[in-house]
Amino acid sequence: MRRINTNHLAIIFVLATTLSCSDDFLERAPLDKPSMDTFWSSPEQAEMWVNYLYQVTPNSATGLMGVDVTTQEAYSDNAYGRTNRARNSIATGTFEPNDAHVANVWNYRNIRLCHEFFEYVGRVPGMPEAKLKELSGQVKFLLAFEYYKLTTRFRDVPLVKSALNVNESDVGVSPKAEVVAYLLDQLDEAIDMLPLSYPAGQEGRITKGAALFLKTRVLLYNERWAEAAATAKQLMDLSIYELHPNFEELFRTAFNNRKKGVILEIQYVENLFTHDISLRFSPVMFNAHALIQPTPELVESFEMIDGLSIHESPLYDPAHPFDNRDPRFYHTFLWHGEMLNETLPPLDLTGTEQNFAFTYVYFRKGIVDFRDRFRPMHLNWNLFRYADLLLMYAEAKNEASGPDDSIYDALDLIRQRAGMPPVDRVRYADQASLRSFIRNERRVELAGEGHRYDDIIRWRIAEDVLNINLTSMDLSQWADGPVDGQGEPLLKPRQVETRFFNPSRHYVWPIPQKAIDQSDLLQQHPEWR
Amino acid sequence: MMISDHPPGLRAPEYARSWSCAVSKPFLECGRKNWKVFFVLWFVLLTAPAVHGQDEKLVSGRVTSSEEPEGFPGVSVTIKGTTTGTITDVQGRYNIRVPSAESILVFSSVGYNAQEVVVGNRSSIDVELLPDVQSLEEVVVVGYGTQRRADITGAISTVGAAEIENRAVTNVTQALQGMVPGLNIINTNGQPGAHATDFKIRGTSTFSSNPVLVIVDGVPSSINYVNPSDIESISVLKDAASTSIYGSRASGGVILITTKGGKKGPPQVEFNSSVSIQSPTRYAPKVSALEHMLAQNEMRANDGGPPKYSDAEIEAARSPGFKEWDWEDFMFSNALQTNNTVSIAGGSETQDYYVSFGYLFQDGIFLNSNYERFSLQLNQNIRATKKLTVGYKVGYTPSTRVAPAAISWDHITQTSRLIGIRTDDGKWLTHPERTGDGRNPLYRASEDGGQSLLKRSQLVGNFTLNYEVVPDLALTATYGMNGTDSRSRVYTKLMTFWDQYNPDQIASTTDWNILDIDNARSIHQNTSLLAKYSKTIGDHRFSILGGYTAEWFEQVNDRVNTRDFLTDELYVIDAGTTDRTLWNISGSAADWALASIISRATYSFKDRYLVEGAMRYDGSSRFRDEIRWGLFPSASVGWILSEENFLKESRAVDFLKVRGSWGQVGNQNVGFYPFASVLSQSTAYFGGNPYRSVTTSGAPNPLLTWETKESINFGFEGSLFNSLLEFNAELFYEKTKDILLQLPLPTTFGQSEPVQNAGRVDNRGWELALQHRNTIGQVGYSISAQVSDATNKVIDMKGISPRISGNKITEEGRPMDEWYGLKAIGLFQTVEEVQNHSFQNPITSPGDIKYAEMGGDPNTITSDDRVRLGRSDARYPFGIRLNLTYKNFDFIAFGQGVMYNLIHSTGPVATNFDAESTTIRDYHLDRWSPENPNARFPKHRNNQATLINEQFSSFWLQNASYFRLKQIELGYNLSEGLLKKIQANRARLYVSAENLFVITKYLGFDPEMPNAASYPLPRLVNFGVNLKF
Repeated sequence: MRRINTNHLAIIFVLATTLSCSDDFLERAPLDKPSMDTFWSSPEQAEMWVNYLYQVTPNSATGLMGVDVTTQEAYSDNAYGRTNRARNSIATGTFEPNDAHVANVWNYRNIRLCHEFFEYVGRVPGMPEAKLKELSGQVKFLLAFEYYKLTTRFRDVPLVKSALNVNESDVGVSPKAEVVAYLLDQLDEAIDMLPLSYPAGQEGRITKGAALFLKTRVLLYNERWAEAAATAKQLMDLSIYELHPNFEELFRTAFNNRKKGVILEIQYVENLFTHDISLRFSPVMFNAHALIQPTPELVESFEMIDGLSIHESPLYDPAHPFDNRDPRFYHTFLWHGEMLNETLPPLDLTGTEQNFAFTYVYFRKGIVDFRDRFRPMHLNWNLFRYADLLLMYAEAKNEASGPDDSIYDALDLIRQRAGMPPVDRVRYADQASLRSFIRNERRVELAGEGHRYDDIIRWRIAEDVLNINLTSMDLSQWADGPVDGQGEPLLKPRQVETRFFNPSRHYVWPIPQKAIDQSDLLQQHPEWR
Repeated sequence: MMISDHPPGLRAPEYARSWSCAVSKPFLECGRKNWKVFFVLWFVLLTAPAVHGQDEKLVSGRVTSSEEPEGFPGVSVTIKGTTTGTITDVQGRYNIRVPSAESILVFSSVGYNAQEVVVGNRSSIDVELLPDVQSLEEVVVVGYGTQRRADITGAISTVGAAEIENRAVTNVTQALQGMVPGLNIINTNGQPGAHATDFKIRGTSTFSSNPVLVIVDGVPSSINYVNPSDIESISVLKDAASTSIYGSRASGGVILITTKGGKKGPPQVEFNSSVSIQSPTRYAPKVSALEHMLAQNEMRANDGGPPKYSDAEIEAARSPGFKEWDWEDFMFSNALQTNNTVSIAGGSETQDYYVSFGYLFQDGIFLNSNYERFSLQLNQNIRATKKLTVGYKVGYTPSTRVAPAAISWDHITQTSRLIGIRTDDGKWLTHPERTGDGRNPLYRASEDGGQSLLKRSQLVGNFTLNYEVVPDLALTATYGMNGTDSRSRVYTKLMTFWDQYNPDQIASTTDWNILDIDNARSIHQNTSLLAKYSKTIGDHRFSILGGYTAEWFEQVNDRVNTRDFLTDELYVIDAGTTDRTLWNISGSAADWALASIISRATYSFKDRYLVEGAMRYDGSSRFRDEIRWGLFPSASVGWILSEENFLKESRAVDFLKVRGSWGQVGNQNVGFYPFASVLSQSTAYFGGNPYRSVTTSGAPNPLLTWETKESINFGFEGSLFNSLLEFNAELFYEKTKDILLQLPLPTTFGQSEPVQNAGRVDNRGWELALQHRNTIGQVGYSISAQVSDATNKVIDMKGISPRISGNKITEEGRPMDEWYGLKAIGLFQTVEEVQNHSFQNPITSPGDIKYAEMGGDPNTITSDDRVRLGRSDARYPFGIRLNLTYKNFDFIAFGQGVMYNLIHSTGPVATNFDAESTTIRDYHLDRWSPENPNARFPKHRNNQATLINEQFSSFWLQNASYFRLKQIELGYNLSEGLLKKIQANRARLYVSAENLFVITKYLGFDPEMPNAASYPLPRLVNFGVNLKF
């Protein structure tokens, strides 16, 4: 090639830059994601938006929470949270505004997404009226649920009623009553809009019953007793829920979505969407972490089979402390020598396990199907149970108007299902004694399910039950207990941790420091200044 | 093996010998024998005969220099005023026909002063070339071109081949560390092939990230995949005057890497090889099992809990036969590294070439890790006609990285010496108290636990057509590409854990073996069309560059994860489960494009007054059309004082220049589509069925546009007393505005913050480099040192100042990200002291950290007591280098460090008992107890549970400044006689060490990667050889 024609060269240059000369060279749209501008074009897409609001990361505290509610058990006098500050700093009174678990509950993302639904859903062409109602009802419930969580923990919180622009996004707190009024409005609308049930294959969506249940709980937590009782009654009168006959089956994977008595089940699916509640509850010898362990106080709160407490009943024998107890006892706890399920060896506290069994007892509820940490569980989590509703009804009615037959009847349903004698209507004839009975029954029935902390806070008994030196079970007289080489009992009483509750501070959670740091309007609660 | 294949006409059999050495065994084992043919073909092509002139008089002679006393090959010998010329051969000899006795011969070579000799009636002319000490004629690579060093008016530092090629470094960042003032490089991980380095030019000037733009042979590329031996030069462009020609991507500075080219002359074969033994640098030692048990019980007692270990157990641990496990000994071992490069370079009148082949193998000092990299570089320029030159540079770098399928450094570092590892017959153990992923982190990391294999290849090519339209005017068209292909395969095996105390019994097993395949490809392409015009008229010298460039980029990845394989040897998806619920499939793609107009003009008068202006006009696909285009101009001036009459004759001053520059550069590092409101998909489940769900992923900002950095730079450089002292000082001041920032919004916004053009940050600093060179008797030496600093100041935060983010505060008028937290004022000694001090925590007691009351509630320590605790960025990075030569010996020592680095020390290495089951380090034994009131550490506590000591405070801010002896090397050049015997031009043997020691007060792992419980940096002892034929 002796000579290259200038024309040839020009062609080469033009070719070299051709690609870059076209007008749309710099117009690039996302290659792998749909855009908000083109979304919202069918009812199915609107439903996809709603579906996301249900999503809980398997163990997270956001959204509907799922199994993470069990973490709250260790905030209370029901359980000890081993090793992790996120689990025991509440009970030890060492938490403060910078704590991650305080910050986690303070979350406005779902609130925004709910408001965005209402902002955009009007664009959807051909949206059937019924579908719009059904979806709107779910969103309103989920919005209310967020405010229920916020007000329960933080009392007065910012009330955000729309998807905020950047420049209007700083919002100061509103009084709790105002926020609760707003959330009850949302719930009332949801109750009107929501169906009683969904077609098979859609279990887990919010129903009218779930909205009534949440309304009952919010009213109860706000001590609006008469309204709470009336709302609970309204739900009972729907006559579509009743207690599942077998207590233990409530916590078995095989009965996922097959329990009449559960009003809202958080959905898990084998392999695809699993959780590790087992990590929290199961013994270390099964490769779990035994992070949450029942306190002796909780174990003692379970009556004997005769309906009397261990201090009153002639059946109680310190040499056989686990005999003749409320049948729910055996579905709730696990102790030395007991089997968790058929595939695992009996619990053995003689070896290393002793180092982790701080209280000598573990929870069994919820982990009966557990096999190994590497087989995560997919047991649905019973977020709203009918038994809870009956207990809420009993409590609200008793507070509103004192003992009556409807209360005893509701409680007897639970007692009967449990295999316990009915309520002694003579012994618990006055409001105060019935109150303490209901409170204990609530503790026993719902043990390990994460409700106790809310209860001791609203009953304002936290300063009594949390200001203690937590010690282990005293099993030194246990006849079947493990012994060391000299025949001495191995499980001697021992100090577990010192707990602390400051009534002038700890009845409300501090606003997370991050939220205050990033706002000009938010100020810390007076208790925490 | 290869010699037998070489065709007749191959000139120098002696280099073929070394060539075959380089084609080392693993290469051939790969079965890619076709490479041989490829090589040979290239060789034939490249050694096309040179053209010689035919004239009256024959002149011959020999060229030498101080460095090449036996003959300087490759020196260009031309007849002045003509294009006729030749180059010296291997012995430095030349023959040339000259037209007449008046002809002038010009002898020139890069790095040497050219010499002109009138032929006269001599027929033999010997010449000794003198090195160009001041390197003024040295050509420096700048953006889209080259410049004489003397003409440069911006802040540019260069590193040449000589400073890189003799070191046993595996990548360029290692070679650059501590070499360039203002370039701060931090290693973050020592894993072979991980290439974990953070590098920054001139500190931090923005809230967002502005990575350094690395350009290899004209193509934006990764700095990690260039064979250091192939590098001719590295230019680090620091100020806006030198970087504005890269416009919107230049705000972090630019590094230009140029690979070697050929020089006129016969083929020169070079062979560089080193073998190294690596060992870990620093690893904080764990206490003995007994000390761990005692400390555990002490910790439990302090927290009010029961003892963990009984007296009997502790007694057993005291007995001489007690088995404890040395984790460090098990997981680390000395490892081999070998690094070889063979290259051939040469050229003629019509073409020049450089071909190299490199092979690096680095075994890991940790289990189950190694790295292998081939690098092939083919560079050639062909002068097709008098006017047209065609050139290309192609580098191909396939590499394979082997790493554990899973390393949990946290578990490894926290585990005590009580915990078992593996029996002698190969059973992996687990201690009953270890659960989940902590069961045996070394099992997971070992080959028995699986393996992660990353095969990555990168092809960087740049093709150039250069056409000289008329003299002084050239048109250049280029096409460049950088294609990467990476295939990651992570396989996790089924694992069986045996009980440590009963090793015949299975403690637990895992349920799945898992295969995860992730294939990713990306291609970056660019084209440009440039016109260059340069002219000298009398005392006026000027040049103009103008043109158009376009770049576009695409990346795609596909990922599959499946499990439940029937056997462990089949790493394909089909061998896994048929149950689709166990499949996991994902994929993503993205692209961007950039179109630009670039221009530059330079002017110099009498070689002493220099003016330069440059400009780039960039359009980016990352912004909406109306705000897509940005203009990035710069201007600079220089004055070479030493050319002035009043200094020209000065004996003291060899060279002196002052210069100043101003310019603007941009940053567009905001993700690919920051304007688009995109949605992400996931799955929700109802009734056991999956349902599609959709939500927003991040908040878009369609109004987003460039971040702009405006900078001023003053430079002062010179050489005094015949190069006894050379210096270069830079002062800079940068203002960055429209910073691309995710402003922390009130939490009630309910969404991650959109990126906004917000805020302004100023950054100022200085750089100083000094060098002293001298020869005393037969000892030649040079000492050079460099140090720099930069300090930023936040000017405007759009009304959200101050913002506290975690443990750091950013406030207008102050440096960015200062440490912010409680101030520790020692340890409580008595109960009274606790009671008399502000309330901290219900469980606070003697031996806990005492915090200063700084405001807010005077009786309680709260977040109101947080104060500023110092700057969080490292300052004063420096490097010192010593070179010595004596007779045939040469010696190099090179150290590097930072003088200020306040880091937050966290995790099991920092705190005594980070969590319940973690162990402690030797230095933690100096903890508080009534008997040891002046302890370094607070009393043992389970910090994860109580946090009262571990919470962020000034107590855990540690001084991690350090000085590290990076390199020490002793070389020996073989004497003439020996060289002749092996028919080599040069042969140098050396022994060296890298990362020999570090001086620091920091407790923990490596101060270069504090906190990181991670793969330690290796220390290397190297044996190497450099051969030239």
